[in-house]
Amino acid sequence: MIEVKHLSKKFDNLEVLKDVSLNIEKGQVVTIIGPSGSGKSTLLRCMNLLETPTGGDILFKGKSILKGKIKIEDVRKNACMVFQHFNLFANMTVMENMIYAPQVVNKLPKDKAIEKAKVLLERVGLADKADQYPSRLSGGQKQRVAIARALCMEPEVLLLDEPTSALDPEMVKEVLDVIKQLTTTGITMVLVTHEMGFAREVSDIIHFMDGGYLIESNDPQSFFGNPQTDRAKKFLSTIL
Amino acid sequence: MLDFSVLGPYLPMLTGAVWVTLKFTFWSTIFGFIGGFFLALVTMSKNPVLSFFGKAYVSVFRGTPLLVQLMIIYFATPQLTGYTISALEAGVLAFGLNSTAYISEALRGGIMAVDKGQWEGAMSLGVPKSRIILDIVLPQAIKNALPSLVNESIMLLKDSSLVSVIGVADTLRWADLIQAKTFRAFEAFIVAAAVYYVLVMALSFLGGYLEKKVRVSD
Repeated sequence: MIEVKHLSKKFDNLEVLKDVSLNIEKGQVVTIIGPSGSGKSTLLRCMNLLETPTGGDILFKGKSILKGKIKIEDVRKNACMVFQHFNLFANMTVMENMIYAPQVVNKLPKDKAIEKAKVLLERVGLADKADQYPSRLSGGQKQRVAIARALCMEPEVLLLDEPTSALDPEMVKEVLDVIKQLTTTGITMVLVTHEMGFAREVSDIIHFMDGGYLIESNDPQSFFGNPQTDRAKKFLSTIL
Repeated sequence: MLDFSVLGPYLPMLTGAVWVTLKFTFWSTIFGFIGGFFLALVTMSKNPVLSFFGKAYVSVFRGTPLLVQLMIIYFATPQLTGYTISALEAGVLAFGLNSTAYISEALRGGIMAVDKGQWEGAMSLGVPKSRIILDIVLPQAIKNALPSLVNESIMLLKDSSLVSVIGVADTLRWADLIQAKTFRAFEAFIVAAAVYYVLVMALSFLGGYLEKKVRVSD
């Protein structure tokens, strides 16, 4: 689905991604973990070009997204992002947030978009909030709307950038429950998170990053049970 | 000593004059808003030539008196182009160009105050840039800039009195005419002042109402 090849990214003189290569297969739940500043969010943001890589290539379904083989908008509408700070449109109600992009980008008629939005809001347990503005919602509710909003686009890949990091502890679970439920739908997911227990539970594969390098990739049982590299061992010993 | 009854015969003329003031303010504001929107985009453009043009425009129109700009447009246009510009056209043009500079700055501030996450949220769903600006950033920018925008239209309303200098029959011109005919300066000008005050109050009331309306999303 997504092939990252020798990707690098520099901000001025700071190199945050160094020669990162990985493959994401269709239907996989892929989790990227690592200490702060290890480049995991940058890697995720490169996948739908919110950051422009400075080297290497990314193939989306076999086509390079960096060499203009496929339009940026066409990548983004198929690889929607859920952000740490939700980024719901402040000037729109929950329902308007949900139906905006499907109408503008996918040219879905309004009634069809509303229909779909209602189903998804129901699924994240917020059907009663459709007419509220985001400012009236709690952090956990905002994030559930943001996930539902991304799903409204029927993307092939969902990119989640630390979706629970900005939440109060008591709200983390409601969001994780929604994400966990999604893993059963077969959608491809790439998740950057600090929730190790959750990563272990839902992931098909774990990528561990440190200092801009992809250090270790393995299935969760092996990674958490028997890390191969010293850096992964050290990281796990500090957080578990 | 004061005798407002001398104004009696001229009152029918006053409604026409107030109408001119209102029309004038309205068109200059519209002109300024549309111009200001595009100028804000030009100034914020990544293209250095465009952004320099935007900054230079604001600098010139903010850095010279409005009355001088009005005089240049009214008196120099016939000289340079041969086109006899009417006082009203010259006025709307001068005020529109001038308020374009101020409104673009107010909008630019409003746009920059919109959280970067709003852009990213929309971009990550595949929304094209032009639609992000129109549907997401601009509504929030206008909300941020609303107090300055209301202020700007109040300034335009008051500054519209400058056009009486080039002979437009506005509210101030009306008062000027009466004091010339009746030698009753205080009565004439105090009525003009009262008219402006009432109009400004109405505008700020409207502004307050709009502000309350855009705050529903807070």
